[in-house]
Amino acid sequence: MAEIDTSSGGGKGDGKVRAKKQSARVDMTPMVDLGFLLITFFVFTTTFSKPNMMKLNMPEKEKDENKPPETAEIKESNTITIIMGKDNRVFYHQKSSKNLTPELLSETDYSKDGIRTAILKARVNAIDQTKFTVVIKPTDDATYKNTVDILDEMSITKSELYAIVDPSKEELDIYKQKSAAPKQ
Amino acid sequence: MPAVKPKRKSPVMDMTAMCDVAFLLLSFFIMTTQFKGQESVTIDTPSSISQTKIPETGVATISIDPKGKYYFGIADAKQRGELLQRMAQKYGVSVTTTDMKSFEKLSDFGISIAGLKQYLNLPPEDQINVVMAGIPNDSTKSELGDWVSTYLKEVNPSAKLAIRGDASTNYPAVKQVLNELGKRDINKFQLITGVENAPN
Repeated sequence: MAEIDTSSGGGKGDGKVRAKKQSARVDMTPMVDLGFLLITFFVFTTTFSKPNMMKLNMPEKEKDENKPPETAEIKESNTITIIMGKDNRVFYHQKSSKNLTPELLSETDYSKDGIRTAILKARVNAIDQTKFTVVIKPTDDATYKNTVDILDEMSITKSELYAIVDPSKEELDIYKQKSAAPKQ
Repeated sequence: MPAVKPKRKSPVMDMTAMCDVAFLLLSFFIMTTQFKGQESVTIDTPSSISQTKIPETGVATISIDPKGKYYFGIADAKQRGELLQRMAQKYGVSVTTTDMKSFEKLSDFGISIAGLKQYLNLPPEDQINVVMAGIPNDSTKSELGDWVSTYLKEVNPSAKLAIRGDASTNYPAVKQVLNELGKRDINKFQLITGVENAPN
């Protein structure tokens, strides 16, 4: 294939001195070696998996501070509040922050059987499932991963109404009490 | 009767076909490879089941490292010069065309605008060794917020803003960004995450 036919036809007995015919076959092995070496280099440097992105829309800041914030009537049983704490601990409750007691704040984890089940269970028990709201309250001890994990749970459990809010003072107090105790 | 001998074949193999394949693959990889610019910080993002891919152009990225330092970068190299010029004007810093050329090579940076000029004048081999202090982002003076709003409102209004945080970044560092940008009426964010399979 990589040979070139160098034999010229005819002229057999004309007695001329000819150079010895050499095959024009080229050894391709080093070229193939080089080719594959470069392929390996490009394979390793190529980034195939581009990172994904997740949408996060925050509410607009109220410019006029005197204007009372818009309030919507949400029944407590129609919501679940998730408080993210330190060391990957996560708590949830279904009360308003004023009626919250340490007993009502349950602890769970970020696993499939933990917070996901809690959200789904709360939604099934909600009075109006179309208005079921998840309130996400990351404390200052939470990490960015915790936040992304919870937002991810929102898309897994298909909870469309959710909001990221700062925890209230009452909730922080109770959270501190609970997080002081070791995890059960 | 002599035994029938199989015809001896020379062990030389024809490599041409293999060579063809090798170079075909090589040209494919050369054409598809996109070299990433030198990133000033390594960030290990958390993963999510989101399927949306990040666009290649028109993205501004805020990176937050585990210590809560902020870095900023825009994907389109051509718009970097304009952005620097506008920011320099706002902060009363003079920039030369050499500075702008040097800035266009930066995929991201984590230096206040006062220190940026000095950094840009360093030769590239020294730039790598500089430990960046992060872009200032306090509630009183947020340079990061100015960079973002200058880019999104003046240079490229259709651009998206992405936040790339490390998994171990503390939440207050993220909250600070959201607050500062909220003050500037930027409320739509994209969180950059790794890939994870959706649960069944």
